[in-house]
Amino acid sequence: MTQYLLQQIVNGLTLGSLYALVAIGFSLIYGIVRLVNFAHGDLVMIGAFTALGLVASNLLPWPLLVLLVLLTGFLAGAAIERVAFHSIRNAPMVTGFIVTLSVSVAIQNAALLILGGQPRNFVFPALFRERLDIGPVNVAVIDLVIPVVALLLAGLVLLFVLRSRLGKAMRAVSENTLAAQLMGININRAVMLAFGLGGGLAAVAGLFWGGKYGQIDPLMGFIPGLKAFIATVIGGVGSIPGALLGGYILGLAEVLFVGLLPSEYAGYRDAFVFGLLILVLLVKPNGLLGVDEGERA
Amino acid sequence: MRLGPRSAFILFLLLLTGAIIATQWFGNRYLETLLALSLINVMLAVSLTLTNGFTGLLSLGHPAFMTLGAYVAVILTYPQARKSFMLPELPAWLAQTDWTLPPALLAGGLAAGLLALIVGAAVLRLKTHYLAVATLGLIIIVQGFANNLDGITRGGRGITGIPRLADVWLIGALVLLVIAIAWRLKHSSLGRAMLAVRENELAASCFGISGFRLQLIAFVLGAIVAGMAGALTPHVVAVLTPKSFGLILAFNLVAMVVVGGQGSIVGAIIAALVISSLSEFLKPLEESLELYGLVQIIIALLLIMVLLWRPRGLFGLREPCIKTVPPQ
Amino acid sequence: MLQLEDIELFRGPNHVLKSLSLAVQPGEIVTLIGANGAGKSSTLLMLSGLLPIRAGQARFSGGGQTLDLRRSKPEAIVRAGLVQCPEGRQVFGRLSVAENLALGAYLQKDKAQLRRSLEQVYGLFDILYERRQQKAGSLSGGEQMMLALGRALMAQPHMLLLDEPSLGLAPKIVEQIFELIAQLNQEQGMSILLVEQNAMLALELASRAYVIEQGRIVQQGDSRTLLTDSRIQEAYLGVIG
Repeated sequence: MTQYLLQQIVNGLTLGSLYALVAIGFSLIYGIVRLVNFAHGDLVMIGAFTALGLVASNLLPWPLLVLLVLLTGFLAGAAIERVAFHSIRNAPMVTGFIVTLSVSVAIQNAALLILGGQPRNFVFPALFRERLDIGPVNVAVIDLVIPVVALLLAGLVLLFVLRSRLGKAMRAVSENTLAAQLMGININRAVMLAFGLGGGLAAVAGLFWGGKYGQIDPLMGFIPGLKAFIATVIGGVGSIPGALLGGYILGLAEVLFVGLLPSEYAGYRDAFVFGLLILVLLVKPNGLLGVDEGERA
Repeated sequence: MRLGPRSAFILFLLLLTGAIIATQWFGNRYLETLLALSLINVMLAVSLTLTNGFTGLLSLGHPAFMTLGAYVAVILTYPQARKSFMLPELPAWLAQTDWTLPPALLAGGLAAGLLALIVGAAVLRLKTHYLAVATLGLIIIVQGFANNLDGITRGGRGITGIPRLADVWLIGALVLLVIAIAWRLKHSSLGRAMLAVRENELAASCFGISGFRLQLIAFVLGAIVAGMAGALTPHVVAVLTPKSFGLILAFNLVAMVVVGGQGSIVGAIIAALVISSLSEFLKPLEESLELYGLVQIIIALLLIMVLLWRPRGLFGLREPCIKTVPPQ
Repeated sequence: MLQLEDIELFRGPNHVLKSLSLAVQPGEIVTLIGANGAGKSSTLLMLSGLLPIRAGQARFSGGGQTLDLRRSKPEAIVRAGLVQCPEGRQVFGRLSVAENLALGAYLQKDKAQLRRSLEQVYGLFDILYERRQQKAGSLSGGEQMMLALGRALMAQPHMLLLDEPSLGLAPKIVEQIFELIAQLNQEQGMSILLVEQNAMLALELASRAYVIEQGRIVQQGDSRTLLTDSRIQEAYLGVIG
């Protein structure tokens, strides 16, 4: 039983890492433009298909491939901001929200149109699928790679936001756009950077998603995107550590829900996750590590 | 030309009657189905205008209420003889029902309204995108139940062979009823209070208007109509699956309301008719070019353009072509 | 130093500045006084490149170069040395005092210069040095005002735009702040354009003044003359004649 439980915890951590990678982007973007970007989940799909193309071409060593997927996600995220969200920056929240939803629908259908609706197989090289025994637990290499890479990337982003000059500029814009402009900070660049960073992380999550679950399709991003948003809400929208925490809580909760309850409940997995969201929103609307909007000086 | 609301209503009634008679005259089943589904969309768009447009909520939950309403009604009307093998786990009292459509519609609507009352009491405390995600979640939760309660709903395989009980006259009458109710509501003191909440909830509360209570009323009323519309659909197309009413529908309904003007009833009617027929007429194009997804992209781009150029939709709160009497 | 001629400015449908002309010479303190909504803050936002100018000429020269403000981005304006300390202080509340100051010198890439600016600001306000690790949001109103001023000085401005520095502060602190402004002007020759509702204070500090009403300059001249002008006294100084 303990062994089974540990196995489930490893699975939960892997899934949680993927949620966390996507959730960080939600937080970065919300933090800077107060926009819940529903098209964010679709960058998971874009990352997965980019990775599929690169794996198929079989030209690149893996670390470089990850980097290239990250870069593609960065560019896609920034491009989507520039094309679709730039002109609604000062629009009311509801307008912005509906525009992001429209962009998401457009991206998904454009992908359907170009790539077709058939799911495609996505296989990692044998090295990643090899299984190791660590104590009582038997895990695939990929199950270790995912959390390590996720935490590494999250750490780098956090360091960047807290320490670097551009990161400080992003935080300044997030707090007070007017004052930031008066400091000579280029708002457009800061906003594009937030979308780009978020996009890069989401694309890497897409790469791992494909490798872990074996199949990808044009609509694969939407539900993980929604769940990652739920993770963001649990952790507190706008906070990067919160997004990490929320991602891991949600990943563990979801896997344990499926793993520990009788199998006839497994179909209620998504229902459980959304139920959890509604519960968290009602009990702690600002999330675990969130900042009350009213507190912002 | 501006008409009084009563003459506009009679004109609409005549146009509707004409359209129904015309489709039946041609005896074209395809056209009749198309008309029926477009009218159901009008019903949905007007009811979502009531929920979102009047009170400023951002609910995406209509498909959840439609799914519930549809399953309730279908279980009630489904022929007894086939229930025993299609839906084996129905409790005895449900297995023996053999209702006609109107009471089943009512039951579907009430079930949806009840769900809205329970869920709304909890989630309507949430604002904007939080509410949107919570209501999206409601769709996924309801679909999850429909998928997993195999013996009652036949799960993912869906229920087929549903009697086509919904004739277009009945749907037309219901559409008129829904429009009349929404119109009366908008121009009543309750409706004005809802609009006040939408414009400025804090200021409204200073006049003793409880935003929460009004939003709950609007949410439940919208859900009842959605439940009935959901109940009608499988009785037109003869099939019901857990995915019949999903996220894309939620999006398209919001598109109709936003394009129409978030609060304009005539706007919602026009937008619903335009978007439904647009997607129907573009479908052959989509199929001949094998560009599946094209229609949805067009609707999404249309919505983005409307939001960029006319953030308050085509008509805002106004009712085009109809004289409205200023409140006394 | 700053030269505005026949400026027309719109905010949405509202015509907020009408044929506004105004000038500040090097080393001068000039004040723009007027009632709420007269167009004072709009003038400053426009000068910082945050509101587009519809018509007219706007030039700033500092550090040996001249900038056409109509065609300049906010970054370029800050880089040229025209720096604003905005109304209501607008410090970054969740960032530390030190981070706020570093952001003030955002465009300064020379580390040595940055250190010198920081030393100068800490020299002017020792309280900021003491609180450098604290979140700016936890400072008192007066301390936040000092931080906002210090942050603006970090950019090494040739000319400072001050929007309502007295707003919401205790009289004693206001006095301190105004003394400091005078000191910056006298010791470093910094030019200052001061926007104030507290006309008495502003006129006592400035050498020249403009009076703005509904987007138009209705009066201008030497501060001392304006202080004794009966119309100004009645409208802005609360003197009942």
